[in-house]
Amino acid sequence: MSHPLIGRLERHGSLSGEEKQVLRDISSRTAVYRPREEIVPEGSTPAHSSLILSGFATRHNHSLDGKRQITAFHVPGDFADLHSFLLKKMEDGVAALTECTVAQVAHSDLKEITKNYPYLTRVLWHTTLVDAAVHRAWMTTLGRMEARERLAHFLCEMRDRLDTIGLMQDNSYELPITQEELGDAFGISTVHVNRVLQDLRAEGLITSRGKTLVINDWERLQQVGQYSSDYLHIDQKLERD
Amino acid sequence: MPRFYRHIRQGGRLIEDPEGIERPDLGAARAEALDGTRDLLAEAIRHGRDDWLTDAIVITDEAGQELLTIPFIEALPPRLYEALLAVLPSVTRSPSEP
Repeated sequence: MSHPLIGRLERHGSLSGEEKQVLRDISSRTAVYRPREEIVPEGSTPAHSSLILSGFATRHNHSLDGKRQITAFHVPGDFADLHSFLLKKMEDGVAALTECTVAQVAHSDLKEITKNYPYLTRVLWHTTLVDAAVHRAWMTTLGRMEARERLAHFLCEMRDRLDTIGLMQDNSYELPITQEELGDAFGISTVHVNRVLQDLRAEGLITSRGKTLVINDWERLQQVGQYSSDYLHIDQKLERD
Repeated sequence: MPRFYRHIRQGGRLIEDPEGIERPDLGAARAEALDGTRDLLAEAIRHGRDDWLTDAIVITDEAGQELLTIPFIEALPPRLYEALLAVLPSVTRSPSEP
């Protein structure tokens, strides 16, 4: 099985055989989580970072009165909490959305990478910068767009992110996210989520078959979502030493 | 937990909820539907739209059995709701809290 992180990182330039082996070695300890199971609890201080190898996961915060805000959806190849290597205490949590296989990458191994593999260090750093860029893009849709544009923007983003790891074909991909989860991510009620998705379907922009989402009109969906993939920096080349 | 489906009735058209939501009982599903409607109406009102005045949420169970119809205007603050109910003959009050 190809390694989703290696595939994703190689979009920025090829890795040496040694670098690829290091990534395989540090991600060899894996755990499987059931849907909705916590991968990294809020407030915990993990000794490893969680790299999603298969399945979908969320990052979330809870308000003091118990309301959940989903702040990210993670897909294979995403290091959900690479930041816990340096930030130590998790102010947010990571949970499985579907069954997830997760590599538990020891912080001591990450430290070795920063000591001995400068290019790997930079390309992993790049992934955390893209995570932050995704947060800024979400913040913009949350603050400045209506529900319809926001959800269209997200469906475009998922298409491109899943494409980089080979999980998108012919504008179609698995989207195992419920109305409730979309609502908790984008600050709208489930009734509103359903209304928006049904409108997008009625207008011929998307169709769904079970958990499979098909984008029928990619151009128009991008227009509705005011979407441009620039913030994902998918094919941006990184300089080697 | 039972699953409730919250379809939207708009004139003769039904905007289906294919997924539904799990709630302990119909009362909780009704409260959730009213909250959801407020969120929907807030955006419509921001855009100056009133094309939802006679729309309603139709709650069904997993077998598709209709359990409750809640007019959208019931999600408005009480005095607005009563005033609109008086001038919209096609809209009928939903049965009180089950």
